[in-house]
Amino acid sequence: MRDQPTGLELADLVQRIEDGDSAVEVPDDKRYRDLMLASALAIAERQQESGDAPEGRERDRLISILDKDGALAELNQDFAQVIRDGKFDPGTTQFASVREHLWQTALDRVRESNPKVLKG
Amino acid sequence: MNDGARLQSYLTDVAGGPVTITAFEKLTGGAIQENWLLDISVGKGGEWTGNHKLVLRRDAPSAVATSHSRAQEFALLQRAHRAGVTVPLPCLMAEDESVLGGPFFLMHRVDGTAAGRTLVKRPPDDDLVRQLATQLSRIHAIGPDDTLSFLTIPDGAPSLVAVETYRRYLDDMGQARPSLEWGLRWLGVNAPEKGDIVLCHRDYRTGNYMVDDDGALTGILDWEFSGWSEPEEDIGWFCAKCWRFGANDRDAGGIAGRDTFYRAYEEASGRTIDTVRVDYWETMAHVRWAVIACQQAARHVSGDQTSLELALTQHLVPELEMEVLRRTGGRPDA
Repeated sequence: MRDQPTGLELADLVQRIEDGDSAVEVPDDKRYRDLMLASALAIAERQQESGDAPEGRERDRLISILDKDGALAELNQDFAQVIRDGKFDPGTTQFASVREHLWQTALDRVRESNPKVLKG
Repeated sequence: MNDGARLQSYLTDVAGGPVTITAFEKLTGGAIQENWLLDISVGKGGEWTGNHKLVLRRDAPSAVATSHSRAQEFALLQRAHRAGVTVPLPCLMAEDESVLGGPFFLMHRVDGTAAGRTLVKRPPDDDLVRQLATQLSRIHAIGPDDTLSFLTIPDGAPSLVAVETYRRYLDDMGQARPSLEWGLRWLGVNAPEKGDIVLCHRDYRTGNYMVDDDGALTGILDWEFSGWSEPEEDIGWFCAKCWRFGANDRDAGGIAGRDTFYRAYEEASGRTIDTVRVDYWETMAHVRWAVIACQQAARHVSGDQTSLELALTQHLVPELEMEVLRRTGGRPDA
């Protein structure tokens, strides 16, 4: 599930900075600031490119694991609680599918936030 | 009267001689606390006579509730200084909120840079890492005393206290984070037995110490999270991949190899490093930083502090989650 601020919100923030909105704090170091602005726009661009597909896949997998339907945020709340309760620990029947789901979700998230780390 | 004028008046009262502020400007960095460069000239009349290059430290507009107050951080600095730790010399704690709207303290300014991205671009530096290991051993030699009575001694294993604390932080933020829950579950099940309890800096990493152009360590900074814990917590935090600023082949803070750090720490402290325990705390480090990153970004999202840097901090979390999964058996093909 995507975090806030989303790519769209980051793009709006960059626009505010470029418009000279003094309410937005930015680093004094110009090089560092430019890198951050570029990073924010890149995240926005990658999220726009991938669209709703990653969250759709995440939701489908959760429906299968939890055997229930619902909004993605609600499913994730239930899923997190079940993990906390130890019901998906190693040795449980769903351990493999839970692990696969978490890894695929993390991959999708990193592809949007910082795909460079996948090359390392 | 503005901040500078009120501060000058206050310092004149404290110093016992006329104080002139010759520079007062906000320094960059410090998401949780603000640091201000402060140069003063003190006329004849008291102990402070002469020119002083200082840093004024006070709360940022929306500080993290879990960090220490400025008075507590000042006490920690004083205690560390007495123990022979290289810190900026603490010189004045001011609780009077009428001066700057909140408590602040002054410490002497040290030379150098703390910028992690800059430091890891320098050549590998075994000597710096040995200095850092020696400093850490001095911090870990500090035991409980009256000056640190505000620090709670953990009832049980610090690892399990940490797991419960980070779960509570996640709950407080409201959004479920299954990968971090997975990491915390692993950390709960695999927690080591309670070890030695020492003073831990709890943010001992590249970015929180100053190094001059000659590679000399000039000051350990940012004591706002210090507390009683196991020495391996600091060692794991220092060596964690997330604090190497991309210099991933240098485990010790992106500065040099882990072995150099371990050997110097063992020599200075007389302790033997338990690598399994450090590895555990290194996993905790990634979970902890992810939780803190979420908290910092929440300040932006809530509108408390609109900041490009805080906004982007949230987007570090996915790679931290991936590292947590890697370290806890969460990678399917591993």
